[in-house]
Amino acid sequence: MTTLRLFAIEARHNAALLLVPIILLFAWYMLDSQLWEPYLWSSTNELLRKSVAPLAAPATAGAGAWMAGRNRRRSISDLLATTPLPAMRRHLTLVAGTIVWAVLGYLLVAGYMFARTAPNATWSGPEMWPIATAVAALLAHAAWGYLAGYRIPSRFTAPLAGVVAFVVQLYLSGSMTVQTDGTRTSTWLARLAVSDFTPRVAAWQALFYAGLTGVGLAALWLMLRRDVLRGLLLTVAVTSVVAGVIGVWAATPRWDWANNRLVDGWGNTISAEEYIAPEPVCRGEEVVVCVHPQFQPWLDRAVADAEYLVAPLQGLPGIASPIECRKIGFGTGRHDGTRIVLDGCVEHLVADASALGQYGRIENEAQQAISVWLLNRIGGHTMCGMSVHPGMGFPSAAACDAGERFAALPETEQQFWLEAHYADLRAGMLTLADLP
Amino acid sequence: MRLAVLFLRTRLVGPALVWLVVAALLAWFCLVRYDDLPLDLAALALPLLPAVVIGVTARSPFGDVEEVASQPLPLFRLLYLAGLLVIGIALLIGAASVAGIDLRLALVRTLVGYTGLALLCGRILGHRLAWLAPLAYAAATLYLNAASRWAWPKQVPVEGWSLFCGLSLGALGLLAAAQATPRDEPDEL
Repeated sequence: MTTLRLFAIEARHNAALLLVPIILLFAWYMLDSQLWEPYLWSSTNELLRKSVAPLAAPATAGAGAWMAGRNRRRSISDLLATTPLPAMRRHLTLVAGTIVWAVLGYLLVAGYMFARTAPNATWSGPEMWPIATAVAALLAHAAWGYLAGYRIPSRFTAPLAGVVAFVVQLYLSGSMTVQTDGTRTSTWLARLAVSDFTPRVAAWQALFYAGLTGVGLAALWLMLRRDVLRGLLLTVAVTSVVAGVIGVWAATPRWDWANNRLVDGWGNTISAEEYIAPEPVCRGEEVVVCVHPQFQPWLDRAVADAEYLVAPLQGLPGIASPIECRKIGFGTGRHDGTRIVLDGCVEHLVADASALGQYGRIENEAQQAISVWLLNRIGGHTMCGMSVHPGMGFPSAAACDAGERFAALPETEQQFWLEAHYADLRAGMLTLADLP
Repeated sequence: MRLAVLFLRTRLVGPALVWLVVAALLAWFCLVRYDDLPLDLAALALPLLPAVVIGVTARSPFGDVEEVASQPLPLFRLLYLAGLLVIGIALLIGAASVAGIDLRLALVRTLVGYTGLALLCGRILGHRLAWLAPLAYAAATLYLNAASRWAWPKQVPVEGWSLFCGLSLGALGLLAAAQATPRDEPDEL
């Protein structure tokens, strides 16, 4: 009871209380700037760790260091040493009073995100490991900040603890290596960062941060008085940290260039089944649009868009019925909102598979011109005016102009031309000179 | 002279200078050791440490007593903070020059801006909490596109807008810290 009352007092008179509005503001800003899509668990699960940890973790370290120096600043350390409550319990109460606010801020954000996503999402579910890892990381930062503040009582300790924690997380998350083919990929160290999460390493990540919390608290306990039990506790905590690091290193997938396979740290093959996508969901009658099941909330609108896209081509010789649209994307933008992107379907409408170029993109200029016209009809990205990489399927300037000229024609003329030339267009036998 | 020496001692100028040198050494080490470090991240993170050190040293342990001092202290405060900022800038420029990386102007801009943020935050929340604003801004900028107007701390090369943001924040922060009575309330929790 005394401990609870003390905890309530410490929590109420704690500098970390200021962190709650800051964490909430930061999370709101991050969710907005990162274009959080509350209908998707993938977006929610990703932003669960990115929206809070980059600021909350270092700020908690700073707050912990600051609170650790409070009694010394107030010159009441000697007075407190005479009270009957064990010193470690006093420290633990203060650490808990500091952590509770950051954890509360985080859980408020997580609760809000879950509450928005759960009723609307159509696939997958919440991942609890990112939350466990983030909470463990907050505990670890607070414990180490407190330890630093207790050990080095200085005005500079709190800001330094915050900045060091920030830079360490930045270093971990940005840890890259250059592969033999010249591409840059994250190293296993990046998996130790709070903002990084993959299901394979999640448990080890949480163990790593839980171990760090244990090391911080055990070291503090050991500083108060040295005995075997406290030393043993520190050993267990250090072992957890080492086990967490080894586990993350081993569980991080890497490509075995010699044998062309995905392996873990011990060289065991990672089975491809882990990465198999679920069966797509299809909808529509004249035009069938197939998407990943998580995109179902936008599927009806996508079918309507696809029907509008295909409308001028319906009934032409060589066009399938129903038309199936599988090569789709997903886009979310501040102005456009969230939508299924049908741009990829256009390629299959204007070109046979055999007429596509090296990268599966359109290279014939007449086909490019008609695809520019079709894309403009649905407000798609025509790629006109972008820097052109030869062979990458970007439309040439002449094709863009021809597409705009075609769009300016009356509908009857467009239909007449398409009826006469659609089969040749798909086969790649036309040039820009053949367009009206 | 005696007043100046006592003033500097109350601001812990000795340890502050030591930390500024440490920050410059760390910056040099990072730029040399990680030569593939993205320049925008370097410009974002390296000035953080000197900025929070300067921000924290703005605090006075005497508070109200300084208000009744026979000498006007705003000028002292301004000269002291500007001097410390100049030293921090010189050290960071030196670190970037020795490392041979053309990031000097970006580091200066970000350091001045962060220092301004720290001093403004110190004015509002108390100078022991001055580190929170630059840290929060750096964390918020981390995931921003470098082309965004808000991402001035990591824009490389330095352009007019980012320079304007950095210098304006620096000037506002210095003025706020020079005029204000050092507050003790929230940070004495």
